[in-house]
Amino acid sequence: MTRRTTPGFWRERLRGVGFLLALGFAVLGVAATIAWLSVLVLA
Amino acid sequence: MTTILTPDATDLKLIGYYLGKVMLGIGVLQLIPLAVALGWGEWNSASAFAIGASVAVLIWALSDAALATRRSLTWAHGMVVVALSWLVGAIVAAVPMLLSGRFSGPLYAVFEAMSALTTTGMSVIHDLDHTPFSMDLYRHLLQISGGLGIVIVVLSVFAAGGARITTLYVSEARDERVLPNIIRTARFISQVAATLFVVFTTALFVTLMASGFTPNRAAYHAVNLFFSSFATGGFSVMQSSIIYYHSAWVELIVGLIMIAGTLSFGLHLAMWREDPREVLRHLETRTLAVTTTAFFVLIAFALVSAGVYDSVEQLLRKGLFTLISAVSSTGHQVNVGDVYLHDWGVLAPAAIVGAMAIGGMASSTAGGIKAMRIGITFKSLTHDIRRILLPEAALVVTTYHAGKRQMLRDETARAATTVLLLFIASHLFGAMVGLAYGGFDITQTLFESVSVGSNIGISIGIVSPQMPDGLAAVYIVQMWLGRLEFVAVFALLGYLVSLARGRARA
Repeated sequence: MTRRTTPGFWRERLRGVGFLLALGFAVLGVAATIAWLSVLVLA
Repeated sequence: MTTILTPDATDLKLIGYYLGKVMLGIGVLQLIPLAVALGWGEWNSASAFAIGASVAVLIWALSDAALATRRSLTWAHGMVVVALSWLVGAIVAAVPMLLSGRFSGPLYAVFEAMSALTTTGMSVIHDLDHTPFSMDLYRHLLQISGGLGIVIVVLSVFAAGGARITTLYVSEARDERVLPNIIRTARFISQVAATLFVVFTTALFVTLMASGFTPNRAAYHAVNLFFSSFATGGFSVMQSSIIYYHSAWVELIVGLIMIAGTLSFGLHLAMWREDPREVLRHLETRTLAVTTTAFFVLIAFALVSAGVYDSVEQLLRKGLFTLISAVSSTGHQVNVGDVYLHDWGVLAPAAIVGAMAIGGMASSTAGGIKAMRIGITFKSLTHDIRRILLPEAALVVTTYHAGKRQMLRDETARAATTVLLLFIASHLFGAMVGLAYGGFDITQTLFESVSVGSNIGISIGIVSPQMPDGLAAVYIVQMWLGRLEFVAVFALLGYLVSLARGRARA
């Protein structure tokens, strides 16, 4: 059977997007914690 | 003659020949909005793009006919070609903009084109909300082309390959080769961009459809938003930027795209194919983690204690989004300029200025001094302090992680500090010129100058279609210097001086 994509084609794309989303949500998590503490202490 | 230190006619031919290829790339790019203009029945824009593309292709044809050469580019030639590509490229790219009649004059059309190609994102267009689709698409296409490296893209396609392209790529302000072979590097960059384009454009399309957009409008906004966000450019389809959408989901998706844009392609490679822990170890990630966290603490403290915002949601949607927009050098706005001036006080805008000055990562689409240089300068500082504190005979070695563990060398530290100082000088110069024109105070002109010089695009309102010509010209030069991180432009100046001296001797 003819291979239509190179080996690991989808795997590396899923990895790339997955780790990117993980990084993005880690940033959001840290920022949300700082924001929550600020509102709790200062507001 | 093989050296460019005493350039002659063959050097000029070589530079002109490669510059012509870049103009061909710009001409070909204009065929896309030309097709859209024809499809949408935007006849004025269609004729503007037809003329613009013809001018660009004519320049290429003339240079190819008159200057064709088999000589290879040296490092110095490459630098000069890159510096001229961004300058001449902006002028050629401005032709259809000028013909559209939406700019105050040629200088402002060049400003817009330079802002696009350098991924700055400041706009001086009249009545953006009623701009033809094709012209808007063209602005965004210029940004993504600039962001992904117009020179690497054009020359990867048109040149023969090998060392000639490598020379251009390295001098285009990207000091890290992602993969050993430049063609494979270009292919990987386009694979990342294409994958993220599919994922995030789909996400934006679905979100906008859910908000009540028609399919055509949703697709149009989604594509342009991806281009301007991944290029860390910051142009927007609507005058009001991201506020227009009134959607936390749009802000979240755009925020993720901006983070993707500010990550170096070396780190994208680690996440795609290699060890993803590299992201956590890399000097740039650590530098950005420390500086961005510190800036957000300052912003949160300033805005909550002053009573500007009193909820986590507001802090994230206004404060964090603006900070990511600044760090990534994108320039998308969720506030109108007046808010920074009148409501945010002094501390929060100061933190945004700091974030804008640092910018994103090297080898990414982001602008600014770059986290790598900040990290290396800090390492250099701690190195010097340790050397002072330890006994004179002690051997002080400082290392950092960037791809692999590396020893901090004096020349690396010196190069980082030099570029850092040049950025600061550019920011201060722009601020002083802004002050000289009057009407704004130093904090406002400094904010705008840093935003322009670091290729960010967040504006407090100084940049406008009505700004003075002299200030527009200074901002154009700042954008050009910032995008090329000074080195290529200095090589060009050195070349011109050598040329003048050579002529004087002759």
